[in-house]
Amino acid sequence: MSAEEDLLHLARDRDSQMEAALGAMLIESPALLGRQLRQDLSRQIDSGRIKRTEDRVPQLATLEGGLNELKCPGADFVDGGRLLFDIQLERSQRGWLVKRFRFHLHLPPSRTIGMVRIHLNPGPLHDPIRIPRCHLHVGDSQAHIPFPIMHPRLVLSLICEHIEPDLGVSANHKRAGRKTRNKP
Amino acid sequence: MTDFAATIAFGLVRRLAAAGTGTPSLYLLISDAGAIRAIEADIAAEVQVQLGVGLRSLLAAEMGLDRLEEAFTPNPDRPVTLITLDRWLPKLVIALDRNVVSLTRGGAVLLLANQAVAERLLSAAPNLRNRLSDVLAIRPDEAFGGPMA
Repeated sequence: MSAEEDLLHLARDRDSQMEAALGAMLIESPALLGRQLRQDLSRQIDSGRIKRTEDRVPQLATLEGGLNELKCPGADFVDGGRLLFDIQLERSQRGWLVKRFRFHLHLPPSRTIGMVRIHLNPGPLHDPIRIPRCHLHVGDSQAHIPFPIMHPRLVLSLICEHIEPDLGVSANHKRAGRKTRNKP
Repeated sequence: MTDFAATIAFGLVRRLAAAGTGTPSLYLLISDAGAIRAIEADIAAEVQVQLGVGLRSLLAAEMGLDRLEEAFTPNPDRPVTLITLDRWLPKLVIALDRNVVSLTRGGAVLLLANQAVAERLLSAAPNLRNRLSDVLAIRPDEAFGGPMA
């Protein structure tokens, strides 16, 4: 086996593990997940990280083909960041499965990084070495950094409590006393 | 009738969560008659998601005076009680009015009624009226299509 074939095999293995993790992550219902995400956003509002949003966020819609989509068109962080996300769910015989998600975090201009995007593509692509099904983009980079499969609520929590407060904060800014949250 | 503050189940249960589930409180919720089933489902879902407990749901027409004890007995696993007054039941309302302290001692009690029943209740039940934490106009949660929980 050539080195290229070897790497392709490894990448396909990694994507197979992602598929298995997705298949094991059953969602009881899109509406329940929507209510849970709304509650999670409310907790971020209560803790002063996010500004008050409308009570109808995220909103559930049925798309063509029976897919359900939960969409948050924008949640504003108090220090100027903004989060948008959409999550598509597909009904299976065992329950609802996460088919695709996109979390886009726009960071405030004071940061050295402008944005972070976490994507779960709707299916594996032809080039698993370059594009893992679930991946992260830093800034406007086209590099697809593999990202572990995790529950959308966990992604939201990770963004709100760890990525948004910390990513792209310059050393000078940190020295000047900006507190990065949730440090032990 | 006075215009009451509008809410959805999400906002209502946020209030209950802020006050603490064990805090005695009594809310009168007024909705369109056709929306009552959707609102019941919304409240049950929000109580589960936000408070992590089940909702004790009682239908007034099925309660009967002999089942009042059930409404008055505190249930730590289901500290929020929803009583749907699906039609005007004067004897039941008078019994609830006379026992309002017992009714609310176990936690939050939500009385859900359409406007006509709510108006009659407010005039016929002075003790209930005086104990009300708030009267709210409640509508189905459009974000999740009402009855889908």
